[in-house]
Amino acid sequence: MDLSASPSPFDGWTPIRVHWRREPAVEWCWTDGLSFDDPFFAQTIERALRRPFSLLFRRETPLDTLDELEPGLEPSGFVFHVSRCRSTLVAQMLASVPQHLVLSEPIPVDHILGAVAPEADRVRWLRAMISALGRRRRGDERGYVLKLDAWHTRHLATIRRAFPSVPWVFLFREPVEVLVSQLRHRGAQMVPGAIDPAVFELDSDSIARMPQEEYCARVLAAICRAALEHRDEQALFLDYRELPGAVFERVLGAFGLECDAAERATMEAATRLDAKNPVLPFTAVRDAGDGEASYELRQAVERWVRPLYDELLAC
Amino acid sequence: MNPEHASTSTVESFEAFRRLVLAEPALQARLRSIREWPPFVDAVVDTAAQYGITLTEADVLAARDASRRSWLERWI
Repeated sequence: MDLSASPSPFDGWTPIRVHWRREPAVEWCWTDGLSFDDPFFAQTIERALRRPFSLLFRRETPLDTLDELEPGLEPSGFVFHVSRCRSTLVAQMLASVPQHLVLSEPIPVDHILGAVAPEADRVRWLRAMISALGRRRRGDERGYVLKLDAWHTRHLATIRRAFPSVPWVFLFREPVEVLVSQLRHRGAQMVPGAIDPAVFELDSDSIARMPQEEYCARVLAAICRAALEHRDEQALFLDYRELPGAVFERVLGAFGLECDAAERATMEAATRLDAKNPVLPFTAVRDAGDGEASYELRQAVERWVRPLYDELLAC
Repeated sequence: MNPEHASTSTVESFEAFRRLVLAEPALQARLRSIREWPPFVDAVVDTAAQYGITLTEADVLAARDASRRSWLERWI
């Protein structure tokens, strides 16, 4: 895209993070020509940063003026999830259609949701940031989906205030399988203290003494509980076992995305790849479930998560 | 000259050049078209000189390394 011919000085630029200084600032990276079809937002930015100009000439603007930009796409839908439940696959399937802008765990959204600030500011910043991230890049976009980090389910209240009419999906899975995967390779939310424990209604003192199985189970429970508490007419709850078919049968419709036969075939082809590492084929063995679960893990799941999972299944 | 002051002066020079580039779409377009580091570094040094800003190859590479570190350390 030729910046000199474009109407906006931000065409070709993407916000990549927020700096919480005395005057918060948004950092932008030149990403023109790149499509956001990597498994994660950070990977696309890292691709951009391999270009000398993008690495050396990043720009900053005040966060408080972000909402003065011309608006980007309205979100078609949000994907929330418990982690390790094929949420990345769902995002990759949707992203396989070039006219769908799909952002998978965009860093600046995490920065906004993690801000300690009045709720009115968080809502305003969130709307502005998602709009800025959703600026048209191709010109023929007809869908904009954000797959969020697992712990962002704990911020559903803020997200629903910012986007009350945007449909959302909550993906969940048998909790023992989720936690076996997490204990094998932990996401940030499963590392005690990596995310403010108050997000999960826990406190620093108690998590320091808590067995790891209990900590992980209580984090997972908090995520499930948040989804159930905010369930509304815009919500679609899907169990892991319904994927990937439910993407075609339910998610596309819920998000108002119409795909022709060729696009559906492209999406179906994406299911045969490892969603987190698309150069590899998907293998069921790598996605194995609960064979490794310890007694302590099963006990923690039964105590903290099982009733919530049963409630999710009944939705 | 104290190397520490020289380093600070170098950082300030690069920042001055960065601000200049970000204010000039034509300069941005010129630098964006160079995808390999050696000719890019040369272009930065030459372009800076045209605007009265003295930068060496080492200065540009130091700015590159600092920028990479800034991204990699974003979780800290």
